[in-house]
Amino acid sequence: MLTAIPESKSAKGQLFRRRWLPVWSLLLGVLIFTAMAIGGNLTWGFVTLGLFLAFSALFWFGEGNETIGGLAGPRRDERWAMINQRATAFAGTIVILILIGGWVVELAQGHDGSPYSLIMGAATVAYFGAALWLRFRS
Amino acid sequence: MQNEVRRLRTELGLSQEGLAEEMDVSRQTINSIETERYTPSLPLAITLARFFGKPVEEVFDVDGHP
Repeated sequence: MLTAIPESKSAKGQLFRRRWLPVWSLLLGVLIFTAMAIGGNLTWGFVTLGLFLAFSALFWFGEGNETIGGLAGPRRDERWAMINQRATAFAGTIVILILIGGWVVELAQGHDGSPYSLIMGAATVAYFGAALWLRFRS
Repeated sequence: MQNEVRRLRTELGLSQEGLAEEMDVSRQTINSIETERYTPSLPLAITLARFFGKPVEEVFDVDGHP
């Protein structure tokens, strides 16, 4: 029987697929908590850490659910990969629209457009760089 | 994309979960293929066709006449 998705079946690969999102959520929560604590905003730091811990727990313990498993990785197949790609593209489009809005507002207020102009520039370079790379690879 | 996956699967007495395990995909993916909401990749389409012992064009068809 052919395997539909040629992905790593090693124990290490499986463990990474199963646990990367909850671990990432936890690390991000700790990072933001640390930043808020350094900034003197301990209360909201704990609130944020709690939210990230909840996400982490949801992805860790909820992997038996097909939807959570598909989102979190352990049950991600080609359909979930497509869903993830499209959802990421949609979220990226929304972020770009927000950046353009912020940029325009900053310019209209007589400012230099930062930090929006810098982020838009980085996004433009990243997009064309990725498009060129993919153009030669596919 | 129209397909014969549901008919072929039920003829074999397989559940969606069983076929999903054979194909190494989720049950939802098999359901989405059967209800024509998701078009499988070429490797998965070929794997499905081989599993059912049919040429891929007898399992999937773009013209609506499998």
